[in-house]
Amino acid sequence: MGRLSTWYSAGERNKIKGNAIFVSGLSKQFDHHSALRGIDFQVRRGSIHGFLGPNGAGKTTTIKIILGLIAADAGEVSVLGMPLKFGQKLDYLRYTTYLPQDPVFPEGLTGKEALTLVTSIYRLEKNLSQTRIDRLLKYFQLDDAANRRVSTYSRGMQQRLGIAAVLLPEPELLILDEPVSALDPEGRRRVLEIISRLRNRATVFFSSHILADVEKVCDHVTIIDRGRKLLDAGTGELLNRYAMEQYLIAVRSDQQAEAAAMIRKNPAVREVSPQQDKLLVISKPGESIAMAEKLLPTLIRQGITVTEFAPNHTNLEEAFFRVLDENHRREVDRP
Amino acid sequence: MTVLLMKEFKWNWRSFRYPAFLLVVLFFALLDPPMMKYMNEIMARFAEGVEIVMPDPTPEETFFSYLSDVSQMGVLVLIFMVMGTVAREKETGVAGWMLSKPIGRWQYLTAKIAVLFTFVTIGLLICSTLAYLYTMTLMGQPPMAGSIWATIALIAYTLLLATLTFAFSAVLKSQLAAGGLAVIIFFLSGLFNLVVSETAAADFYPNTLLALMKPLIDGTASPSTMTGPLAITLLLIVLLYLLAGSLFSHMEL
Repeated sequence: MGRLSTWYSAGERNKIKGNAIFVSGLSKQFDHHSALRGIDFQVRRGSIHGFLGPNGAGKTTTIKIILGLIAADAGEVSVLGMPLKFGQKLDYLRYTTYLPQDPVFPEGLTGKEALTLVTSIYRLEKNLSQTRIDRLLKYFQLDDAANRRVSTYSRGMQQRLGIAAVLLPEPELLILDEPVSALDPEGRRRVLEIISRLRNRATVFFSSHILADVEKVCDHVTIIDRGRKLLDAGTGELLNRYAMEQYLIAVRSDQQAEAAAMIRKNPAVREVSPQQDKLLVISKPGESIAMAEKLLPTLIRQGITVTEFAPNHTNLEEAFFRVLDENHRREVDRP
Repeated sequence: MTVLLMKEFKWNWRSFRYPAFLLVVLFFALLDPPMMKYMNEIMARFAEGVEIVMPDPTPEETFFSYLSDVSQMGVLVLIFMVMGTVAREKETGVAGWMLSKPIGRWQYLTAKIAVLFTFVTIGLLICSTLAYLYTMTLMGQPPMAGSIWATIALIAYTLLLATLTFAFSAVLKSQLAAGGLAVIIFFLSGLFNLVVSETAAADFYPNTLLALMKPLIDGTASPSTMTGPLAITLLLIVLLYLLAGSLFSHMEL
């Protein structure tokens, strides 16, 4: 920890110590395209942290910067309390494993040899590593293919082998870029189960397009788009926030049109749409409470029979698109 | 480091890259001595009715013929085998995979070049010994000391071209670009040699090592004459490696 004192102020040092990953003001430009524009986020130690964003948002660029594979134009990164300096040997890589989006392995190696190579690089004790290799090959149903060259594996098998490789050294930090994209439902279930079990034992930082999976296992999510951070929140907090902004209102069927017109007049309401036999009402950002407080009394006063008035339980996918949508609106409104 | 060396050795052996170069050298080691010995008979068969009288080749010429073939065809094959050493791993993402682990970039490059040098040096030594023994069996013994010096000159020159290709492979994104540039420099250095050989600069020009092979075998040139080009060749090898390593250390993968 000594070297931190030369890099960060006391306040920042405390933040870094508590975080597996600390990213501040990260920017990166590729030719004429800004891949990252001052991203900040922290990944708490022992947490499972989802890193979300549409294609081209800058997720893989961020991950590659963290791993020292590409250089940032500006900003600071520290991993496990150790600062990143591009072009220098990074000590934290001894405690970190990485699964790329498309897992690759050195050519010509069999599955078992690839895992043995990983144990040698991380200097695991030989007997222990052999036991772990056998166990992981069996768990990921690769034991029959262990002595086949990896180049003959299907994409799903390569991804399972890749996951086995990142688990093998039992690292402090696992960085996974789309870890389940090529897996069948059973494969996904097994991987998510393993990731869940790592909570509080290791830190998992992973990007995924399968938001239902992220919702299942992540404590925290960071959403980025076009190189900017849009949101950084606990998964539960995020879902609650968006649940509170959406209400499902059931009224008598002959009063639905009248009720919808009345609801639209409320200045806190952004959108009203029919959903099956109910009305889905979405508030403007930050005005959910004002909307909820006024809406029900108004409807009742106007003689509308309200049979249901409840927050709409949202999922991460809906929340994700809401965040992106709000950001696009802000960008359009920006002068 | 041992882990990386083993990985490199295994991959190169299985992919048959460096062994392919060794097979080409072995081919010349086994083919040149009988070709030289039976050249007159072969020529007579192909040109019936025409009398071609060629002087009988000496053991010195025969061993030189092997070295000369390796310095041309062998080196070209080696360039094609080495051009993907780093560039291919960058293209496929294996370099990124390896370097996201606790492996330094210099370590990564050093393991690769160490295996390359080991294959080339040991392979050339073994094949040259075979060529020497085969020449001795068929045509008499070439001078041993001169043959050893000439082999050393060939090894140094081959390692320089291997390092050049390796350096291009490390700093360029495409293996084809690396190989193409190395081939161009290989031919240009040969052409440039025609100019340099007439000047005092020849004493320090790496291609002079090739020009000295025959006189070294014959004994008409002393080993000290290759001090200048050998020193420059070794210096270039070190400089190319350092330059490639330095650029690769700051390269985005």
